[in-house]
Amino acid sequence: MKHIRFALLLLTFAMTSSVLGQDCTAKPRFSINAKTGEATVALPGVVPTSIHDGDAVTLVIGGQSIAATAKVTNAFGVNTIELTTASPIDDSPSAGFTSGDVSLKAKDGTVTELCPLTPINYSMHVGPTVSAASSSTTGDPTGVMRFQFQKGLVRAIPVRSGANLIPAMRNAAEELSVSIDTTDRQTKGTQFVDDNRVTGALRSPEITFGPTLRDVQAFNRVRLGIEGQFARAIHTENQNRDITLVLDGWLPFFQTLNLLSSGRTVSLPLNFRVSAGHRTQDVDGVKSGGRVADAALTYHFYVLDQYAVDLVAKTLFNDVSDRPATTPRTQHSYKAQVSYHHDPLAKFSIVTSFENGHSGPVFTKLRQFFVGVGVQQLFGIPSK
Amino acid sequence: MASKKSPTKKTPQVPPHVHSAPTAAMLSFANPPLSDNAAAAANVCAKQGFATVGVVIANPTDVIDFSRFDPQSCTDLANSIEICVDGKGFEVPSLAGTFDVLREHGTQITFANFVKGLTSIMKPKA
Repeated sequence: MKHIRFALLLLTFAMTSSVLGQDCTAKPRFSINAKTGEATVALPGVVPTSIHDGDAVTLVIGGQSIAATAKVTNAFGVNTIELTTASPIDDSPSAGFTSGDVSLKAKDGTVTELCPLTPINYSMHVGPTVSAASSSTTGDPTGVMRFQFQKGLVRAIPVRSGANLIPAMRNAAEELSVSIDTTDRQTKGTQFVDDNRVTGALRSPEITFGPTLRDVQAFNRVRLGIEGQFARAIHTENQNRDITLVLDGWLPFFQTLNLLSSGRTVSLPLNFRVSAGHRTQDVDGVKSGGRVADAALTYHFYVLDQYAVDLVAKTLFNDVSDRPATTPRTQHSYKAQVSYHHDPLAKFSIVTSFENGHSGPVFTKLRQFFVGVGVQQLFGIPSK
Repeated sequence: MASKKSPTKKTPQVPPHVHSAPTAAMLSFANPPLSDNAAAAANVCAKQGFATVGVVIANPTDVIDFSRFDPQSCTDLANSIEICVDGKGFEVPSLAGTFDVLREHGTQITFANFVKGLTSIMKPKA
């Protein structure tokens, strides 16, 4: 039963993170200019061979095709494709996009999937949305039919106005997704999929406020959100409900420090994240529930011009009844990671980390020291 | 209503006028070359953009470490610069994706070079 509960917990974290953001690593990024509405694709690598400067291409957003002309260029050493369209891209909730999926179709028909950084407003009324997987049925060797269905909604709600406010400071964000993954009947004696959930989140616009010190205000881009999830098995009574309030932002008073350094390296200031909520579970007839909360601080500083230090401190509070005896009510963990602030042309990079304290449901107590050496370039080709 | 055409006068051939130093300086401020305008706007907008994400730039030699940025901060920085640049009569391509690629690549760039990079992609608004 503990394994089932743990799996549900992991799924909760996995689903929440998939709704709240996406990882664009190694993918071409799609974004829209906040003022002009013009779209650009930034490439982590080289320009696809199917796209040339001046080509007529088709931008496909949420099922709608938009004709564009590609201009291959370079900004800050990054290959980019500027897309000129007949009119600015309308990303209002009424634009009618059926998903947040974006792709670029070249003249020869080659399709490149793009990862949108600018949130695309879309509705859950039409078409598959959360992922490419659509409502489908697939055969199973045991004769059981599997049903998968995913739909979502992302909507920006204008809350504040101001010509000089960035979109994240103007709009609240509303997200909702429904995911069903089950079978038509429960097979006896074999494992089967039965994972169905509704996830929602509502986040305030980013707000910067407080006294001004050295051109920045004390509280930077603070955002309050409420996140909830309801997961239920169709073939059993198992269910899991979470509702959480989240507050996060930056504290610019704590700028990155440079210790014993001749130059000054800057990055984001101290980051904080606090969340608190209530969890209710019913697994195999055993009901449990209680308050959960966590807090995290992240800070970076630089030493001797060559080393970057990343500090992360976390506290986890778990007051859920029927908690395993090995899981303490309050857990603290600390992590310090030192990385060599290397020359981009160097062949190796070195990372060292030290972690101490309790950490989540997996390790009740953790103390580890890690030293890693990464290959920075192969065959004389710099990776950066 | 058509304006009355002024009578054509024969312009005497005179050597090009050379402004005195104070007048030349005054005129250069009044009508600076476009590239200077763009560089000045880029400098102001870049500083403002970094302030939007809570980063204080003290010197042009400050090195910006994009590897410690998160994607939302890249988007916020980009949007802030795009809006500021537009307000100064220029336009730039969307920058959020570019900054997120810089984050992925772990790019470190001085503020002075960042401003140069921004200037190079700015163009006057159509």
